[in-house]
Amino acid sequence: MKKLTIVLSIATAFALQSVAFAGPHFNAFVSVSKGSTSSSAYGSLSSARYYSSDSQQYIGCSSAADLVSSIYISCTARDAQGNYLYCYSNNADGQARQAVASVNNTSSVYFQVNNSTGKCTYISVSNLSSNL
Amino acid sequence: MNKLITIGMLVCGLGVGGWAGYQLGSAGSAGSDEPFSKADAPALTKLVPSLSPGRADVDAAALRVLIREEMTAALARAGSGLPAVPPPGKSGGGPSTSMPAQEVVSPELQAQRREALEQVNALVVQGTWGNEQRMSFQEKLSMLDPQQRDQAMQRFATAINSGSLTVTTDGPPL
Repeated sequence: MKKLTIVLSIATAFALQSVAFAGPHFNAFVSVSKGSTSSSAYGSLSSARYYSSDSQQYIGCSSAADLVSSIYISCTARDAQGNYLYCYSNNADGQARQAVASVNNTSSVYFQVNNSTGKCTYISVSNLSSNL
Repeated sequence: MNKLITIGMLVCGLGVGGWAGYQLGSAGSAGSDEPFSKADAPALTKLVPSLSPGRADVDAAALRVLIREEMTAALARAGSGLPAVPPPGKSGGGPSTSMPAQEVVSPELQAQRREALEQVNALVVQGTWGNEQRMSFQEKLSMLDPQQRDQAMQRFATAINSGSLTVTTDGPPL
């Protein structure tokens, strides 16, 4: 009887564990799309890191400053096939810099790049629980 | 008991003294609209009644004169390094008077930057981009002037995106 109680308790604990992870999760694996004049990449950090089965993909952004004249931001992505996309900007406004600084493990990132200059033309960061 | 009374009196005395000093100080700064005569005020700043009593406002006219003088001097200094007439064989007019003052760079620094730019360009065209190249690129990049750095970044980004550089770095290429 005691054993049955223990087994039932464990089963209940496992059943309730899923309740703790309630809420939807949507995967956004990294995709890199290359066009003739501009290219783009999209994906969520969490999907790339925790939900993908390959060891290739990643996406993210970073910032740097030369402490004299410019603050640089850049975004990088690599998809499961190993295609890279990189963009940078040395004249990003405050909003773009804020967007890059807000990237975290709940983020999905989309960016566009001008193929001839390598400069970022658009950066979007969405922080959502469903990315986790 | 006597000690307690003495300590109490000292504390009270300090409190009253502090309060009196604070009151006198604030009365001195806010009591009059014109604490100093204008003749006493420095050329660039003057004390005028404003939202914050006693706040110094900038005399715009004096500031304009000062900026104009500094700009004229800076332009003259920058212009003195340029030839008075264009060198033979070069077309176009003389140096523009509206050209902004440029950073004075020593020949040694210019040479260092030129060398760094050459090394950066060599890294980008060699076809493989590993951890070593990434580190070297970052080091050289910091030595370049903003315009050269932009050129280098542009070369790097287009090389990565076109696939002419094979990336083997641990983590992102830069």
